[in-house]
Amino acid sequence: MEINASQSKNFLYNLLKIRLVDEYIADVYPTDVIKCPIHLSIGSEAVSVGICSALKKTDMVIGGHRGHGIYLAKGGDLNEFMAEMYGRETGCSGGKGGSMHLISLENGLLGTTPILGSTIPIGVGAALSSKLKKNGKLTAIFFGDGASEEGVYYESLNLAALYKLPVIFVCENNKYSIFQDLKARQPVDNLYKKGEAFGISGERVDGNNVEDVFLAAKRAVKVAKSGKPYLIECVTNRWRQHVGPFYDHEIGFGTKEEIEKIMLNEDPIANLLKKAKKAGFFDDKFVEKTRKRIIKEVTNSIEFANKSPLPSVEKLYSHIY
Amino acid sequence: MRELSYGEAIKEATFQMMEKDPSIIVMGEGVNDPTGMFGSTSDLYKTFGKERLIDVPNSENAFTGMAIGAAMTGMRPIIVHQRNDFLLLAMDQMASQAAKWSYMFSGKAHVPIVIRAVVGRGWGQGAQHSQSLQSLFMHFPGLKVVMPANAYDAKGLLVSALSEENSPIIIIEHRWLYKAKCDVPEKIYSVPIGKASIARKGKDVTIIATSLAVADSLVASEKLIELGVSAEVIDLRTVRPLDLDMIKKSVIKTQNLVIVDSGWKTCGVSAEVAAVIAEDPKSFRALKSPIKRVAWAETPAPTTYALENIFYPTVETIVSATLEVIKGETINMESKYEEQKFTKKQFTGSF
Ligand SMILES: Cc1ncc(C[n+]2csc(CCOP(=O)(O)OP(=O)(O)O)c2C)c(N)n1
Ligand SMILES: [Mg+2]
Repeated sequence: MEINASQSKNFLYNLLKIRLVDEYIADVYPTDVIKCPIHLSIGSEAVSVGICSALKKTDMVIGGHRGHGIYLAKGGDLNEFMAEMYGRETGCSGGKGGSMHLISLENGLLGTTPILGSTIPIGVGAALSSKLKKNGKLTAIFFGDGASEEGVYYESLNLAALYKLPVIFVCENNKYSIFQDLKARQPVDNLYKKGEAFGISGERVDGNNVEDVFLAAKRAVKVAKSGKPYLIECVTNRWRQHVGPFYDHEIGFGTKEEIEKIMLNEDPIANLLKKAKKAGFFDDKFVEKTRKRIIKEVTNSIEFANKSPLPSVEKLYSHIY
Repeated sequence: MRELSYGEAIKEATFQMMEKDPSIIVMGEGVNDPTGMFGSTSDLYKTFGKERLIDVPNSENAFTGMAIGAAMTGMRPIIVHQRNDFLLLAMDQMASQAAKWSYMFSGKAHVPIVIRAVVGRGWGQGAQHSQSLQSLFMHFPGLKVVMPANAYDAKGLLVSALSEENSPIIIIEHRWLYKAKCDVPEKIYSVPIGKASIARKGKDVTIIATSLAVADSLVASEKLIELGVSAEVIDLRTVRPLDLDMIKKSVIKTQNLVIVDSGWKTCGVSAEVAAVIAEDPKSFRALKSPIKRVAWAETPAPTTYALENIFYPTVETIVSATLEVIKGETINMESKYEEQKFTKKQFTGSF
């Protein structure tokens, strides 16, 4: 399968949107207008964009604490996203969730929550529902290399394989769990093989290359449609600190050189631009136009958030049974 | 005497006990990372090595089981969690194995593990990063549950847990107390588990509190003095087993009771303390007015600050609840007092 120009333009729009939104959040965060923990998707945009681009709007996704990319790539509304960051009533979770609890049911995002591994079986359950209803919907489950250490992941692999569920397991391997290196946590570097014992095929892709992720996701969709789970390991990076707006070296961890090397050589956006220009899909002018369009959207979303009211006091008790 | 913060006191206790007892090991996600569990384990591995300071993968259920296995075969593991919420993944190991092991086998084996878990609060920690699970664990016979409210107790209780006890012990620490300082002896000393303390003497009303709520109650008691009310503040320190003697004695003396817990009311510490007082004929008959409880709103913690601010009770809530008990009428404090100083803004930023 070949990538075409319109797909490539969509990749650009989505990658750049996640980048610019998260960069805005990082810039403004020290001023305290956003009062919740943030786990940015800068550097790993191609994972959510590549996967979600291969899914239909009606297909479902679920994720963990690092959810900005997933929300935006699946088509979540930017105004509601920004309002959620600002704790406003108009946010996608009514302000009650913040950055770690995003939802966009109209676009198939079932939710993101920050207990590691916890949403993996929930995604399997969504797939069970699709199978029973025979509605043809797939479910993609996003989780990190760190979350893959939770026992519930292996139980979920077993269940998904046993019941032949249309699930795509997406492991976003940024090689870290907070400060802990993958090598210090797992004896073998084979995240894509974790499903093998359950008969689940898997593959490892360059998670900084949106086309590769997209093509892997297309393969996964095919397998999942046939009633078999599939596992994709996307190897990528997080550029900023685990939680918060800074770089690790700014808080005394790692070096500036390390991260600058990654930013120079493994930038998902630069990777796309290189390929797209070579293929003649678009030029610098188009990139600039896209950037301007996104900046306008971001500006509007900030205005929307600022204008939106905070939840009123009685909202504390709403949505409890 | 020398002052230490709560976090430093925990670290010092761990250090000194590890020096003394080679069977003590520490396990947790991030114990050796640069932030070292908010400073409470940072750099310990430089002295004791990574064999004894085990920075484990994200496998709470399994490593808790592993600690239990190590404990019953001669080690003394300390487990550390950055949030209470993560304990729930290890619930089976804690509640069905650790708590019951000794009993199931007629005391032929023991599980002396210490499980430390920090409570998050504020800055949008939200529903899954701010729970305080003392009530859940105090339900289980076989567990002891400790909630230090200051640096002195944090050190002394941890020392006791590591040297004088054979049972599994859960220590619930509060993130907002981590920077609070007080006098802490340099030597090793212990604070007995199961004993409350009188944080402030008084005669008109007893305020029984846990953890961060002790600090709030102490500030409240100062405001109450201005209003002519002398409150006795009791710091429970251990919520299982409860120090019934001290609780009852104080209630019989002051004849009024307010209970403040950093957690929910329903089936909570405050419910248990109220029940104990209601069941004890002398205490019950001594009461001049109904018991009043101050606790979290009965909802998950919301993220937005607009709601987070009203989810948690404040010093003012404690003051007005106490006045209500004493005067029998509702009093709105909001207009009178600005927000409390003790804890405010101690925890901003991301984690
Ligand atoms: C059950 C549980 N344990 C621990 C944590 C604390 N925690 C939050 S994110 C994180 C690291 C997760 O690493 P990974 O899954 O690789 O995701 P990444 O942050 O790298 O994207 C940890 C340990 C948690 N949220 N839930
Ligand atoms: Mg990771």
